[in-house]
Amino acid sequence: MRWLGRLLLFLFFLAVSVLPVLAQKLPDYSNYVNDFADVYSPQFELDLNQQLSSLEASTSSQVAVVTIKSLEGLSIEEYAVKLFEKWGIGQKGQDNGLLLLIAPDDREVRFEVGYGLEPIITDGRAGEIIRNIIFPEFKKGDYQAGTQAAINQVKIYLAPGAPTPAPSSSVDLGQALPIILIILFSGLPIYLLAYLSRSKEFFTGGVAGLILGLVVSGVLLGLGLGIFGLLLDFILSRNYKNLKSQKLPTNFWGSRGGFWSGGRSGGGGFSGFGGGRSGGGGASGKW
Amino acid sequence: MKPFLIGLVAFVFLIGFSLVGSYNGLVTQSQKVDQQWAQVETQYQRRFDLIPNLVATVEGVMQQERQVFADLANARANYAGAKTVDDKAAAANQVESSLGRLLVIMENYPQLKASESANRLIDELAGTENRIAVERQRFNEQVTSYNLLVKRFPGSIMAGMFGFRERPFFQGTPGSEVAPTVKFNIN
Repeated sequence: MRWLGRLLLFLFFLAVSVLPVLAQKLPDYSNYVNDFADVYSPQFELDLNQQLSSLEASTSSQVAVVTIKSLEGLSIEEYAVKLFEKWGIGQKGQDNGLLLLIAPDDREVRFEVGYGLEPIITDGRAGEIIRNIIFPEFKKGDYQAGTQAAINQVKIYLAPGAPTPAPSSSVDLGQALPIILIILFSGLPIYLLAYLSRSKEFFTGGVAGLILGLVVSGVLLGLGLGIFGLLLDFILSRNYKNLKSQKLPTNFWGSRGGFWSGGRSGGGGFSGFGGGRSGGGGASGKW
Repeated sequence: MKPFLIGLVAFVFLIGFSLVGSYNGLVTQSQKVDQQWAQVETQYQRRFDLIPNLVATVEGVMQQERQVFADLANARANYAGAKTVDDKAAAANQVESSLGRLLVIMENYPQLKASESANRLIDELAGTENRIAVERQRFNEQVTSYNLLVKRFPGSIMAGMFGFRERPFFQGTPGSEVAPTVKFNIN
C-alpha cells in the first residue's frame, strides 16, 4: 500500500504545480509594448517603448500596447478588463493607465481606460480614435502605422494643459483596508496555542504554550516590520540619491513620496506598471 | 493556581482580540459591498444621463419609432421612482432591454451611422454598458467574500450575534445579463 500513498502524494504535487498554470491564461508583461501576436518589427517596438517611457516621465500616465493571438474565448471587453486588472496599468491611487489591446486574428481593437483617465480619454474619444485613426490603417494591414497614429493622438490628449472634454460623471473609489493582516495576527497566536497546549501537563503546558505563542507572534511581527522598515529606507534613500543626482525636487510631492523614481533616470527604462485600476471604460470595435 | 489564572486571563484577552478582529472584518467587508453597489448605481445613473442625449440625437431621424422611445421613458420613470435595491435592479433591467431594442433599431438607419455625434453617443453608451457589467461582476465578487466571512467560523459567531446577514447577489432578469450589443460595424 505504500506505493499507493506515494503515488497519491506525487499526484497531489503534480496537481498543485499544474493548477496555477491552468488557471492563469493571461500573459505577463515585459514592457509597455507587448507584441504577443508578433505584428510589429523589433525596431518599431523599441521606438514605441521609448515614446511611452517618455510619456510616462512627463505625465506619469502609463500606456500599454498589447497584441494577442487569441482572446481565449472571452469577449475583447472581458479580456481587456482582466488583463488591466492583472497588470495594474497606471499609478496606484491615480489609476491613470491606458490599454490598447489588439487582436489581429479576430480583427478587434479595444481601448481600456483607467478610472483616472476617464475624464480625459472619454469613450467617445476612444471610439473616435478607433474608427477614424486605427481602422483606416488596419484595414490596409498596416498595424504599425495604425498603432503609431493612435498613440500620437493619445499623446495629444494626455499632454499637460490639453483641453479636456465636458466633464461626465467621474468615479472615485478609495480605501482598501488590510483586514487580512488583522485576521492573520489575531488568529495566529490562537493556532500556536492550540498546538502547544496539547502537551501532558495541563496548566503549565497551556501557560508555556501561551507565552511561547505570544513571544513567537511578537517576534514575527517585529521581524517583519523590521525588514519592511529596512527595505523602505533602502528604497527611499536610493531614490533620494537618484533624485539628487538628477537635480530633481526631493520634497514629498516632487518625489511622489519618495517612491517610483527609479527607472525614469535613463529616459528609456520600464520599471513595471504601478497598480492602477480600470472599470470597463473605453471603446472597442471590429474592423 | 496563579499560572492558571494568568493563562486564563491571557487566553480570554486573545479570544477577545480575535473576536474584535473578526467583527471589524465583517464591518469592513459589509462596507465594501455597499461601496461596490454604489459603484454600480453610479454607472446606472450615468446611463440614464446619456439617454436624453441619445434620444435627442436620434429622434429626428427615427420619426416612426415612437414605441421604443415611449418604453424608454417609462422605464426611466420607473427607475426614478424605485425605492429599494431590488426595485432599482428590476427597473434598471427594464431600461436595459428597451435601450437594447433602440440600439438594434438604430442599425437600420444608415444616416445615423454616418453621423459622428451619434457614433460618439453610441461609444459612450457601449462604454457605460460595459462599465455596468464590470462593476456588477465586482459587486458579486465582493458579496462572495463578505458571505464567506459571514458563514465561516469564527465570523459566523459574530455575524449571528450582531445580525450580519448573507447578502444577495445581483441577478439580472433572464435574458438581460448580456449587455445590449452596441457595436456598429463600419465596413
